[in-house]
Amino acid sequence: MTVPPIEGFWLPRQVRDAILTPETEFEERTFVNGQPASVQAPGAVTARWPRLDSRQWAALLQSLERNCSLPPKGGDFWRRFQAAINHAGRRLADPSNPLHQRAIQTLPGYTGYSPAMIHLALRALDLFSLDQLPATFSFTPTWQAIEKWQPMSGLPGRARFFSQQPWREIYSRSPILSQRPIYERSAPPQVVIGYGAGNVPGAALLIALLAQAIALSAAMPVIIVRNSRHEPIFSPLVLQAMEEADPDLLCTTALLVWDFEDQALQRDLLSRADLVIAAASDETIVNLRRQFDAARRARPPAKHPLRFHAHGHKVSFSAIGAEMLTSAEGDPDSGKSSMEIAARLAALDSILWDQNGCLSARVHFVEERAGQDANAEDYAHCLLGQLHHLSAWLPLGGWPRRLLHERFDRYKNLERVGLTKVFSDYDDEFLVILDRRPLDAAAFRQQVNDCQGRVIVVRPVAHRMDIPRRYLRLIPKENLQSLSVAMGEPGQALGDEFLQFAAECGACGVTAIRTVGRGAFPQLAYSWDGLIPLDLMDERPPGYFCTIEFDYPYEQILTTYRLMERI
Amino acid sequence: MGEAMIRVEETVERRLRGSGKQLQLADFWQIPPPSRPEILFQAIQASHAWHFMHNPAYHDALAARKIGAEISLQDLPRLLRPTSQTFKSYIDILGTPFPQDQPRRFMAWLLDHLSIHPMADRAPAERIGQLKDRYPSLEALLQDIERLYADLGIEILTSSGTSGRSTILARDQRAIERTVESFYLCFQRYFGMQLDHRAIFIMPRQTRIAMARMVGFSLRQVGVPPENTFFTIPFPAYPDQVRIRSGRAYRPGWQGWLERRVLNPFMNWMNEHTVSPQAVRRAVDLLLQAEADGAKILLFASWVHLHAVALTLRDQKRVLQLPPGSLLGTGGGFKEFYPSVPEQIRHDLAQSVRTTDGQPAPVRDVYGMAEANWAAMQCAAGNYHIPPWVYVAVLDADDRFQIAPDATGILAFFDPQGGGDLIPAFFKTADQMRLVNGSTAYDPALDCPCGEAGAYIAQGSIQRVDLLDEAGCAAQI
Repeated sequence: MTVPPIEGFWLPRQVRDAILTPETEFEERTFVNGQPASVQAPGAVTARWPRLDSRQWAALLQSLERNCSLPPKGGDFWRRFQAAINHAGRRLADPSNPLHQRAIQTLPGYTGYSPAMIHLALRALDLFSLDQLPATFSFTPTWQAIEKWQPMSGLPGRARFFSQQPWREIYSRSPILSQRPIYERSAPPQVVIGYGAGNVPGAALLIALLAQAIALSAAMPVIIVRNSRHEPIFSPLVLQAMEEADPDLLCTTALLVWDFEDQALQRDLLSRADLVIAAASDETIVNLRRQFDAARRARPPAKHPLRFHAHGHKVSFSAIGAEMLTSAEGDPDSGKSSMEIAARLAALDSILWDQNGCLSARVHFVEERAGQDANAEDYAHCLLGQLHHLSAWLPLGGWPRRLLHERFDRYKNLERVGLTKVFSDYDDEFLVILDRRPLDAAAFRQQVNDCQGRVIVVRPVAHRMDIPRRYLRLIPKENLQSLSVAMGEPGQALGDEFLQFAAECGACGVTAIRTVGRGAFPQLAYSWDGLIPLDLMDERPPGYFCTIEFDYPYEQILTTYRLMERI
Repeated sequence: MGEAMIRVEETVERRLRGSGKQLQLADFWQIPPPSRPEILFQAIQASHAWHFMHNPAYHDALAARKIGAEISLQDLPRLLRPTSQTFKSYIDILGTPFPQDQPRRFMAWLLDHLSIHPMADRAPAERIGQLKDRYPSLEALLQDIERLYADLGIEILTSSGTSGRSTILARDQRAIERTVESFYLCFQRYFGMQLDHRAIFIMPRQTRIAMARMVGFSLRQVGVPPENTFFTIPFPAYPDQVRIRSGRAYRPGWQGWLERRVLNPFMNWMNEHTVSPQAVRRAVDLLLQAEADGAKILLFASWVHLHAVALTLRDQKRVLQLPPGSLLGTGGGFKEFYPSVPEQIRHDLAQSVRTTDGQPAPVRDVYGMAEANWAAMQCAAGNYHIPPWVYVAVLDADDRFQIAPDATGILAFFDPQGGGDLIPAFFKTADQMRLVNGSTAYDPALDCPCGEAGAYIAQGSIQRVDLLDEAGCAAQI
């Protein structure tokens, strides 16, 4: 039976009725198990989106601009926004709700991820906490953040700024300059153009919601986001649910698919944009930036600053502190040891989205310390057990097992000469390797590249500082993203040693430090690839932020663990 | 002759009921295609048992996959090791792509991957100590290894190594003989090569690149006399030179600086402005001479060089008229940004090189790789025929055989007959293709239009797939 195409786009109801006509052409894409397929293929899922002509695009832009006066602002916006998000979250998490069912029926076939993975994503929406978003707009980092971690007012965690202008160092040394804010107020964007890519659900949604947050302190901009052809389904479902709750909130937002190669359209859209948010491949970002610069040169001088927020391809890691390598009870509720909890959550960080995400942990660095109950080998063994458990619950998606097999063979070959130890079997749908070899930059990068599709390398370090000093510095700064940490003792706040470690990681290019288990759930209030929400509105000199998303790591780890157990 | 080969041949011979003769590879053409898989499976069993016993790397790789010395038909996919990494694994183990820096560790790796008889004296492993601490080049190391292991008849071959990471593998005399036999049988059968051909190669005479070397050897075996065999690139192509010219991997330190800044640009400039034009001019001269003499030719070169021949003739406003039976052959070879596709090159060749019966000279491609002791040659209908002594199948994305007479997937091959004693010739390639009448599936209705029965790769279907698709937003760095 052929299932009718699902909509891979979203337009506000009233705009849609005005723009789409029976003559509108639609483009369709069909996938089975994440691979392009014919419509007739068993299990085929087809998504469609309209191909707007220039007249329709003009009408769309006009309608969205006209609607800009309708959405609420400030506190009213926030209250209604949260209500709408909660409504959508409840609908998506409820297995009896048609929206949930549609997601479950279509996303696995189209994207290739297992139904259980989609289930988990729908039920773990709580982990995308938006409560903290308003606080981030009142956070005013000063130049002191070059030298020390700054508390983020109203938010757990700290922020540090890594300037690309070395002379800014003097700011941090001057008692007066160091108190000056890094950001300067500027006019908020009126038109935001976003680009989502890849097959991990929700990239376009994340951009749309982030742009919506501008309404916390300014008028809602026009938001047009290009949806991903590889996963066009999830974001429209959420926006549809939000619209049901509060149509005014989304009346300036559109989610469509168009071609990067459509030069005229790209030029038109980019020449209107005050802010471009691009989450795409590095190559696409280079092209978009070029197009944006050309469009910017062609337009009359803007009153607003024109910004380009690039979120290219990235890699992330996990770091397990020696204090977690203990068989002592870590969670009084479950009786699990700290090592089991750390391994379970770090495993999740790696296997969620089958390690295809930029947030997926590739290598697990494990700090070994003399006198500790366990070492990296014990951790790898524990990780193996957790992966067996999690894989039964969250099976690998429809990716070729060939790649896993080839990596298994490669590391088994190294095991023969005593260079590595492979813990998993040929038929396991994951790979766990313990690798103590010293590697040069090229070999380490190769290893990081190997770690996709559920391939986890456990790499022992004698001290946690070795993580940035020996390894992270081998990765190009612009490719590093987040570090999920399992560190700290019960009740222990962020100490100097941890902050020094975090600072060195930040200096290598890490832009977000969160606790294990939260790797796949980025928090909008914190740094996303070095940009914080203030970057949507205000201006600052070049550089990037690294944020720590917690005050008490151990407690946050336990909270995450219990939440995951509940799900 | 190795024990394994004797056993394999005995097995096969038993299957050739009533033939009463010494087994030859050519006999496989006499076996009807539906009967071949069973015979080959028995040969694979025997070959596997030998290598499992004598080849440490193979033994351990398969043991890790829970395969023992005895196998069933269902185990076949698990015997396959990837061509893309098996004979490049020295890089991981040495921690460098330059074996000349760690000759003894490299040799230990190489021996680990070979199936060698237990030896009473001068055991291979004991000779490792005779290697020097370092060698100035990979070629120097390989020559010394060949000298040191001359009694084993080891000859070391490489892939073209244009990725900067060379496949390095060894063949013994038996394997070389079998490979040469395999190539010349296919040359005869699919290209119609005979003694009266004049062979012109736009390639160096001295090279370790497996396919180029075997093609040259095989023509000698066909009986083409040395005075009728020409190599138009006058310089040797040692692995170090190939690596530097490819520009993908350089030595560390000052040597690397020199390679990157001086040698690479110089070699490429020389190649573009002197070596290649000279080689092409020489080839054209030889072709003109052959035309004048009325001699049939086989011109074998990369696509780029074949194109250069066509363009040179066009510039000279010449259209060659060669005797029927003349042939242009290629084993691929494209520059990364070469502006013309094979179709364009074929078109340009058809304008410049013709036979006296008024037809364009046929252009045939050869599909092969360093790890294979065979090659699939393109027939007149454009398909690539797998020699019948090779068992082929295509794998799906999960490494399972696709048992269908017409299937597309990653090519896997088993060459128990031609593969020799030294290396288990059971590999999965990095090439996706449409395979017709492979594995145990055979449909006579799908036989190639050229009339040849048996497995073939459909024209235009070969694609490399070893690059990982980026599914999400995770980077390859």
